[in-house]
Amino acid sequence: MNWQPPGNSPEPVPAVPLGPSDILGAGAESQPRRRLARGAVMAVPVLLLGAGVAASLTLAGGSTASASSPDGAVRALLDAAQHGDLLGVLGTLEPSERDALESGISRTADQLERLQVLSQDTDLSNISGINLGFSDIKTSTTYLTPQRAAVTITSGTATSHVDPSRLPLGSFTRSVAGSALAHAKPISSSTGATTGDNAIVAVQENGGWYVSLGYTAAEDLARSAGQSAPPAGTSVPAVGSATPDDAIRALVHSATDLDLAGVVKLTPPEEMAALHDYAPLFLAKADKAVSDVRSKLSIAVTRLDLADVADGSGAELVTIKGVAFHATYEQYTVTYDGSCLTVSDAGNPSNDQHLCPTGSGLDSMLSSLPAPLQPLVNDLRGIHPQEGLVAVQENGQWYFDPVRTVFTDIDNFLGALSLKDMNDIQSLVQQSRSGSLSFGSGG
Amino acid sequence: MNPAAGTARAKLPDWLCSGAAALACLIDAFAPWMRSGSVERDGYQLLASGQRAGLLTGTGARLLTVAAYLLPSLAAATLAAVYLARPTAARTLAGVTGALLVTASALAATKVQSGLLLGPFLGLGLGSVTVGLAVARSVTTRSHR
Repeated sequence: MNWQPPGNSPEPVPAVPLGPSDILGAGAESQPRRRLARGAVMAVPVLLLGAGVAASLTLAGGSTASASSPDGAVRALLDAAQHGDLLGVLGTLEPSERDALESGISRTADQLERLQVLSQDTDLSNISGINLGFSDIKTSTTYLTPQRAAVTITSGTATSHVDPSRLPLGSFTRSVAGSALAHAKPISSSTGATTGDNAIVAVQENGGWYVSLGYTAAEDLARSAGQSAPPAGTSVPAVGSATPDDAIRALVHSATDLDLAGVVKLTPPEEMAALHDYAPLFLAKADKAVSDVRSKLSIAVTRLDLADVADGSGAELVTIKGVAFHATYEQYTVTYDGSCLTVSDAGNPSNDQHLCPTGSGLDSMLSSLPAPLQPLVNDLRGIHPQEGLVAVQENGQWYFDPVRTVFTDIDNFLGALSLKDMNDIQSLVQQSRSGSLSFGSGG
Repeated sequence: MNPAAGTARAKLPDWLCSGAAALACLIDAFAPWMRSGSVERDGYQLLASGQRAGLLTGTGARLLTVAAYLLPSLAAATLAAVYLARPTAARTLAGVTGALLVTASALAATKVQSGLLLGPFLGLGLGSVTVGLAVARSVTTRSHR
């Protein structure tokens, strides 16, 4: 058939695949049929466009759908875990907590691969050698607040299968573990999957429910101490700073004042929401515990030189380039001017000390170590990982982020290690295992 | 020679170049794109999971996300343009569809470190061919004028 699209002709109607007499008839009775045919022709593109737009809207609408209930969030987490689906696991976690963990875990895994602790083909989204399974899971939900719920797994079965030979371990780990790992047999187990008195806490955000690791830890700690969640409105308020440096300066001052509530206030209100909400449970006790020390200790930071480095995940690593302080505790006075430490004892001035670490002093310390350790310690002395405190921005304000700080410092420390360092450690372990390691002084 | 038959033959490449290519791009978006653990995801499931997992951040990624959801509308508009014999519009829409698929495939290939399946690789090829055909047809049409 010579199908001709309607728009190809100067006259749109004649090309409709109907008989010309059906459409082009000049009689009055052909008018309705012509309209009908024209409508039929136009219906096709309209239907096409409608279907396309409907598909776009459906796909976009379903894209951000998270769990619709606390129980659904926990089940989604278990389901993703038993399929080894890291992407699915990440999608079930509370977004700000997930962001803090995600980049840290990924970067640390990269470093461990480089150092051959993990194998080069480690795939975090499909970890070989470990299989988990959950079946017949039954849950019970208790709403702690309208936006927070404790989900208890009341019954179910958890199965696991671990095959050490298939774990993604690198040559360093396999060498250090030796025959213990080489001859290890696969282990399978099946146990009840109940959470007992503990619970997995889910929180509601943007209409969806997510599992919160922070709230889960906080709630379980509270339960183990026989306490229940603090009532709404008792949270420790967050106090942000205008710059990353200001956030870290405020942290240093709160820490030196032993002001625990002050430290909590400086942490990010979303990522560390659980800490802010549950802090009232422990702050009073902790404050009482340090009050005795606080009454005797006084620390004044007289100089604090900071430098910022973007840590690659939207946060800032604030490194301490220089510090000087003056501290007093009972009759003791400690002064550090940035290079030397002076300790004074008002009760017994003969105990006064002035310490200035020098290269030769460190060399003599190194030479006093057992000979086999000296090369390794000497190498480690030469590494200068970029350690510091991480500040993160939330709602336009900067806060100290303890989780990112731990991950970033671990990552930077691992990044400063070389394969030679790992080989030295490996060699030490092997010498120790064979009994050839001697701890006589290196002289 | 029958002019009508000649016209029909002339229209065939447009249908193939624009409509079929755009449709192929759309179908590729529903092919397996990534495996995480034992779970396989198509392009849209990967996009949704990436959004939920907070992996698609930044203005570029967000714009691409919106554009990706427009892909079915673009493919449908391309088919409608072909049906209405609007070759320029059809070529343009198919070209945009192909370019979107190429960008999304490239993003997946760079963001996803492991577990990539056929979808993004096929997407790079199909999208490139679609863009290439759209451009080539446009150039040919202009030179004929």
